[in-house]
Amino acid sequence: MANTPFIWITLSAGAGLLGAFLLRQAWQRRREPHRAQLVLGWLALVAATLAWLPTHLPVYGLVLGLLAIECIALAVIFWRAGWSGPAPAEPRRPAAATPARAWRNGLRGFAVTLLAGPVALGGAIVLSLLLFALAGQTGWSEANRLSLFLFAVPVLWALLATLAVIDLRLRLRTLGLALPLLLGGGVLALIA
Amino acid sequence: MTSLPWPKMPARLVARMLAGHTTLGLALSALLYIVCLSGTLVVFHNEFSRWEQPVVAETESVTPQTVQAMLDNLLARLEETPPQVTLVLPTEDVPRLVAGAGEHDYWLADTDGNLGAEVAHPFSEFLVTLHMYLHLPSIAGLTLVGLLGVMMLGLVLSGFLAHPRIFRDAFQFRRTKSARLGETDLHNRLSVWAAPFHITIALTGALLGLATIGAYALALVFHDGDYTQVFPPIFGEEVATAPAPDGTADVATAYSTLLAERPDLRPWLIYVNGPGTDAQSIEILTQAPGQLAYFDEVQFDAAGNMLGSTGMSDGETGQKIAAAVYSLHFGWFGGQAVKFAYLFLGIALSVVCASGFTLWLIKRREKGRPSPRLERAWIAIVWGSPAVLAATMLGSLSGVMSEAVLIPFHWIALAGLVVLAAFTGSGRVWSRALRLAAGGLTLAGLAVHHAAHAGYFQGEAAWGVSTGLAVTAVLLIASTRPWQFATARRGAPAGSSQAG
Repeated sequence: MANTPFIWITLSAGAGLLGAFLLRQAWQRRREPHRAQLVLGWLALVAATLAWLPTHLPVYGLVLGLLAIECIALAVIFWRAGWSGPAPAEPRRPAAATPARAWRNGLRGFAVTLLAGPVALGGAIVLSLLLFALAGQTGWSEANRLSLFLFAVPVLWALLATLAVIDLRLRLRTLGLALPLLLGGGVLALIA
Repeated sequence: MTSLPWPKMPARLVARMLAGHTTLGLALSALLYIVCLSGTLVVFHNEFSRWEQPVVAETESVTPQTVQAMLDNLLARLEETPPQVTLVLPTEDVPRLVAGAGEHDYWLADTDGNLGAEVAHPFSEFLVTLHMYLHLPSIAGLTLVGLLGVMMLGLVLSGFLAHPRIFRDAFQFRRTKSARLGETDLHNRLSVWAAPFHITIALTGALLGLATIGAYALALVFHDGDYTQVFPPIFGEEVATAPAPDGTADVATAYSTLLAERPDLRPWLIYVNGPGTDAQSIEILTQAPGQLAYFDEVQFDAAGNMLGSTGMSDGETGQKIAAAVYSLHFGWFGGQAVKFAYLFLGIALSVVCASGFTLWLIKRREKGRPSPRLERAWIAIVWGSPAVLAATMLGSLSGVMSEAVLIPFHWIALAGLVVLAAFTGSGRVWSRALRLAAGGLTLAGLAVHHAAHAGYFQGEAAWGVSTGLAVTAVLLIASTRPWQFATARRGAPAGSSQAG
């Protein structure tokens, strides 16, 4: 049927708008029960995305659906905000005392940079190589495990870099980054 | 009162995540912003290149005889036979015929296969190399941009963990209440609603940037250091065949065979490997309509017999996923509608990058530790980047700057603006002046372009880019509210430097 994609896209737009409306209603009623609206709102958004599946090949349709929903949501936000221009700056408060240990902070910053950069990258690569090796042992094809490896490097680096910069004790962070590097490297040496 | 769907997180963890989110963001904000801004423009790279060189007859189809004539004429034109030559076939995005080899020797061709003017769109290439390499040497640039992708991915992750109420407040926008609340809401709303786009762009960008060093590590551990063995499982092996019957590879037969055997694919690029040698082969890169795969490759021997395809569009799942990375990153998969969605979301992403740093500056100011120089420098980055890009475009279009000058001019001008802004003037004046400059220089570039090419515009891309640039320029100028400028100057206190 020639109109089938159009029908699904219209249904998707309708479900998207319904989802946005329900979520908005739910979040406006913070002191009253709103669980049902929350659940229905999110389900409507999921349905709006999935409604694109029959229009084309599955993944292609899903991507188009997500793009459409994102654009609609941002348009609603800008429409609500209008073009009002920036608000005035807040008045200055009295200056806070500056810590006198600048050199120590500098060293600490350098250490964190090392952890989030080269150390986290090294850890990400070692863990990705380990994943590549394990995928090979469980029967994955060369193409599939290579693809897994290529995606794993940036995802693991992002996770380890986040771990490196969160506000924990530096020793704890160093340990958290060194462990995957050392353990992963050890296991990799055994099975590669 | 019922609980939120977002898990209740310990306050200390949220505070730690927020600190991490800030640290990551500050580290590379300026470069991230430049990459996002240039990436938004690169979505329309094909249109830009057509606009930059509009004096070309465009065509939507090509015959096998034309393809063969292009190859013959190209080999006659080249002084030395290169190891590989490329024939570019017309597509929906770029309905032009191009033949060439290496990095620089490319010529436009007519529908008879005769070679004409040299391909020349230096500003479009400048934009691409800015986005993909930050104008650094290839592997260093790719890796740095990949690092930015990783940081962006980390920012999305830590941002969500640092803001447990981000979904509850998904429609909150207190633009006029205070500078901090306005920037916070702008940053958080754009971040949450466009999160799938941000994750996609960050992950695919990081993957593209880090693939090379990842592959070196893989080669070192699993292939005895042989880098060439890493990618064939996805992209296929290079085919070596016997010499062609008459010495030149029969691309006409290969092209006809492809059209007949694989009607699901649209031919796009033809590579002839080892032209004229004893081991010639033909590879035809194709587009796969209705799929996310950026390309699929069909291989032929020198006589034009089909040998097989790499399976990027219909092979292993890993191949299909890898083939979709480029399309998803640049929005090159669903025609103009998707490109405009990417433009819209790309602008939103650039705003998120800019507002993140601005928020940090505002918070410093509120705590009594303002950084007026840094605030003005940041304004110079945010608004100076489009202004310098517009100046580079003007210099390129007018012929004042040669291709070699564009890159040094861009970085020296941007650095100069940052230094000047850090030490002189007020933030408000810099913000307005740079937006006016960006708009004015864009209009000047358009005027130069139309003066040079009036009457020769071919295709919708030429008019589309001109219209898009004109609208952008008018919006930039209008955003300064020039009709209020005199009043604001009289009313503003000396040294006022509200970021933004």
